[in-house]
Amino acid sequence: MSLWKRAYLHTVRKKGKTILMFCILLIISTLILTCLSIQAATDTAALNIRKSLMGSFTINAKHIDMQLGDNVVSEILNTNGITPNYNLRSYYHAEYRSLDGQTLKITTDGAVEVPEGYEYAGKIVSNAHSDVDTYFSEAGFELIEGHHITTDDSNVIIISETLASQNGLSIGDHLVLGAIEETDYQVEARIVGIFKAAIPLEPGIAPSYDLYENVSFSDNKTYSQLYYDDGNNHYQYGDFYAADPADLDTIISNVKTISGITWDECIITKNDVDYQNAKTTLEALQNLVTIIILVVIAISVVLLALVLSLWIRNRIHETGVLLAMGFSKRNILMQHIVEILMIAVLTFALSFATSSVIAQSVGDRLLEQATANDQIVVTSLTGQETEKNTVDTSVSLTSIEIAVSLLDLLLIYVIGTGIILLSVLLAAYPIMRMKPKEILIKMS
Amino acid sequence: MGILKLKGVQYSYDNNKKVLNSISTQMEKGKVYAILGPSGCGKTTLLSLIGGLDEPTSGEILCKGENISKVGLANHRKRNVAFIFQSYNLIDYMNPSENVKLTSKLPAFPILEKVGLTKEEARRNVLKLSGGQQQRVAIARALASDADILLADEPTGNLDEDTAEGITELLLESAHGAAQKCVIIVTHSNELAKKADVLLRLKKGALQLLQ
Repeated sequence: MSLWKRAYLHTVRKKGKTILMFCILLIISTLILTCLSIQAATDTAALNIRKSLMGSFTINAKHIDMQLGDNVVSEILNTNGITPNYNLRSYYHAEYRSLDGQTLKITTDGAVEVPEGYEYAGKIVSNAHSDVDTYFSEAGFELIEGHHITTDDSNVIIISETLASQNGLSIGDHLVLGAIEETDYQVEARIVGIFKAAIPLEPGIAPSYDLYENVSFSDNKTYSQLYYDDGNNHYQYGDFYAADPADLDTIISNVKTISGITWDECIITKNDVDYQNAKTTLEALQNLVTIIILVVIAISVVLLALVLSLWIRNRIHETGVLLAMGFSKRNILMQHIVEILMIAVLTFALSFATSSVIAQSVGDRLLEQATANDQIVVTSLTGQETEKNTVDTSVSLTSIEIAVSLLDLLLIYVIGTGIILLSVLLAAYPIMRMKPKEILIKMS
Repeated sequence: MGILKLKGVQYSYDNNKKVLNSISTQMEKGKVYAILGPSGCGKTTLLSLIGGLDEPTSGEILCKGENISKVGLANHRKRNVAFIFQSYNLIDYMNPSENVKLTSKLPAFPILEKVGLTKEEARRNVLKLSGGQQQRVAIARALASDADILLADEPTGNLDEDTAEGITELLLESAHGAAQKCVIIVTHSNELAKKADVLLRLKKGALQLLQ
């Protein structure tokens, strides 16, 4: 009689044992399949997050004489892994004047001081793309009229609602920006936008030129014309975006090989806190799931080995009889394995349904566990300030979509078979290492 | 015809206690051999060595002219010998027919019928058969195999007198009938021993011919 037939008869006739083994295997396979599907879901979430978050880096060339130039920027944009999105910006101070040379009124109420020489001056932020400037993206500035500055613009400015009303300015009007201390240097700029600050600055913490009412946004050409007379564009800061934040370090290394700039004097800052935050959560969840899978596998092997060792010990008569008939130990061992596998084939398939039911709720619980102590550190894109905030759920992993896939099911067949093989070998080892005669002596 | 030859077979346990001491004998097909001796004298050990369940410390056992150690003990057990145990040792999740089919591809019922089981009994759970019926199934299982040597260890030890007599007849039949098996029985039963063709006694590790 073949081992398949013997295994089949044992499985069919020993109903109690079969049902017990069915339950054990169903619990084990459901747990492992659930964990596998959660792991697969976190992998997918990680990939999606990486694609959507696009980590960036900022090159601070403020302290270099010629700062960042167009040639270097062009080479950076050609580096592998860099997206076409970028921003070039500079920060400077300029005196607001009318076209006839009269100084304009600025706000001084709430200023901690009005420094000498800055009585009519404000902070100017020059941008390649003003819409991505952190004043607009993070500090609550809102464009209420006109349009944002783009690379197509030159000699344009966006001013505050207050500065406009104080001086009777509106979209399309022109004003003059004058360099501080260098009174001969001045540039005319056309007003293309008016903004308002949704969140007011706390009074008594900033000098007059930093008050939101006195801040303006210009294009980069305006900045270069005001402070350089070589006809080239100069940028203090460059923000560049990586397609995959995981590649950020490699991209930065490659960028540093570009000639035409003294990289040692530049400060390069990675802006991947969103990615790092999501990554931390994902890694915590992935580690948790991996640990759970390993623990479940270890417990499964021990539990199965214990149950099977009891059963195999109780079947010593059968083992002795089969050995006496000339069946090899390997054949008898295979029978034990096939018996469990016959049950496992059904339970593994059924676990697809059971784990589909519980995977989402288990995954949500694990995610809660993994995100329990999350903190986000937000670095301002100005590169000048760093502030710590509590969790910003918009950039954190707050949910994962878990679905049990056929690949997971295939994997459970592989892992489950491994668990069964190991358990049967462990359980049968004490009997199988005995000589046939020793087994027969034990029988009697 | 000599099917089994023992040449200077010795067997010692790990503590060097010698159980069998240079046993040499020859056994033939078509005969029943009864081995007698007090408990612990090594009868079952001798049967285990002949059946390939263990190897002698020294000496050799030849079956059909081949050294069973060289043929492989598992092969020897599969091809040449069939065991009948005192406690029947039927596989409890198989019915009598399936137990017989363990050793044979031939239909099981004719053999079971020959040892006295009905069709209904042949399909019954083996644990629901009487001791005598279980031993008949065990004998049928041994007879169904192609093995030329039947090794029976106290085959009637657990049976009442009438049932034991029936079983003895079956064993004699398997040697003296068409099957012409070599039947080697280890027993304490004088009744069974008297019916054997050759009577051997194992004493102090040596095998003596009594009859």
